[in-house]
Amino acid sequence: MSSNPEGAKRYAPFVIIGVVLAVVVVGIALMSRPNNANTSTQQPTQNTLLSSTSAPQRTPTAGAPNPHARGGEKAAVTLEEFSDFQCPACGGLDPGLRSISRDYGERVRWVFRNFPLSMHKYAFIAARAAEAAGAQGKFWEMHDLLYDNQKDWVDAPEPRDLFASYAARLGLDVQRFRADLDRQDLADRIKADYERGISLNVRGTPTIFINGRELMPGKLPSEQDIRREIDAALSPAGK
Amino acid sequence: MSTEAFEKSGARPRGLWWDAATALVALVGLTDAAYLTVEHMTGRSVRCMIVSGCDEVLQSSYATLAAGIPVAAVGALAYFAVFSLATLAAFGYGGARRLLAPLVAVMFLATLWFFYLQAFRIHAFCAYCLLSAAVTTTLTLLVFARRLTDSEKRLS
Repeated sequence: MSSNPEGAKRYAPFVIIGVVLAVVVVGIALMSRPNNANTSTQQPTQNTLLSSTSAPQRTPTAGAPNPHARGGEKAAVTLEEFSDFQCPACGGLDPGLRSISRDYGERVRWVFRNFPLSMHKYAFIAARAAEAAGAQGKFWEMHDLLYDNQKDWVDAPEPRDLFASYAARLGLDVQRFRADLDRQDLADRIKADYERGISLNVRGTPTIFINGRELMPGKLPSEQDIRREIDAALSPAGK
Repeated sequence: MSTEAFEKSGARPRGLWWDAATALVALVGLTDAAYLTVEHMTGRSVRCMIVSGCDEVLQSSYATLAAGIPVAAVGALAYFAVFSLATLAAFGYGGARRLLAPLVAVMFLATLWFFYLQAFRIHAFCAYCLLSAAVTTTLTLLVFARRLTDSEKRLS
């Protein structure tokens, strides 16, 4: 025992608690930073959130031929979105993307790529519903309905009937739509898109590429982030 | 903590190792909950990921309390409280030890609730949340086993 054990021992726990508190606070602060640091320092001169290191490890695969696209065929900016119809984050971003598409019109080409994640049990059938509507020329209309009503069908015991009701609402041939839900060539399109995502190192949804470069890798971009990048790409310096 | 609560026995406080073990296990829980809090606040897990579970859980409505406070942050505070109380107890503050049992009991009940939510409401398990459940269960066992051995000693 030291000559003054009580004194030393009385303060020791508070010192330990204080040190742990400091470590936790500093740790949280450091952990919260890296993404911002990455995105803001990768290309400081261009003030861009695009990844400079998103060059894929493998040669990217083409994805489904004639992908579903909104906007100008020869637009200066191509926004390629990898998305999952059941992903709430995709549903959250979708109104923003639609508003961007409306505002930029022919200047931006919005390409939709299916990236249904296996953890979402209806993501694949929802993608099939969108493709089946696409077979009747109403992919985007179904795309919008699927996101607008995401909360309804994700909890449905069997979403096919709901999807068929959306098809009816869009004026599609419902019988054909139901049959097309099981069409192998449409399922293959979805798989081709997914494979393209994998080849581009997509790890989650939504993932946005602007003119071939991933926007804010690992982070969820907001509508404003996307608008900023499109503006930068449309400005003379960005071309 | 009042100085009256400080045990001036001069001898090694009873159950030092129990308290030290409790503090260390709480530290694991604190690290885990702090990580989940950061994930929640930075929105990294808000995206849906190929390798998943946590995004499903963290972006569910159950992950946030009414005032927008992440559940993980409350967990981090609770683990910090357990760590602090156990550390104080290890250094002889008997009053701190008495607060441990009710706190850990509440945390254990919360853990059961979170497990139910993941299994039956969210239908997804987050590995970090399961680690937290394991930590809280261990803490509960440590704190109550310790009380049991204490009361046995007192009886003998």
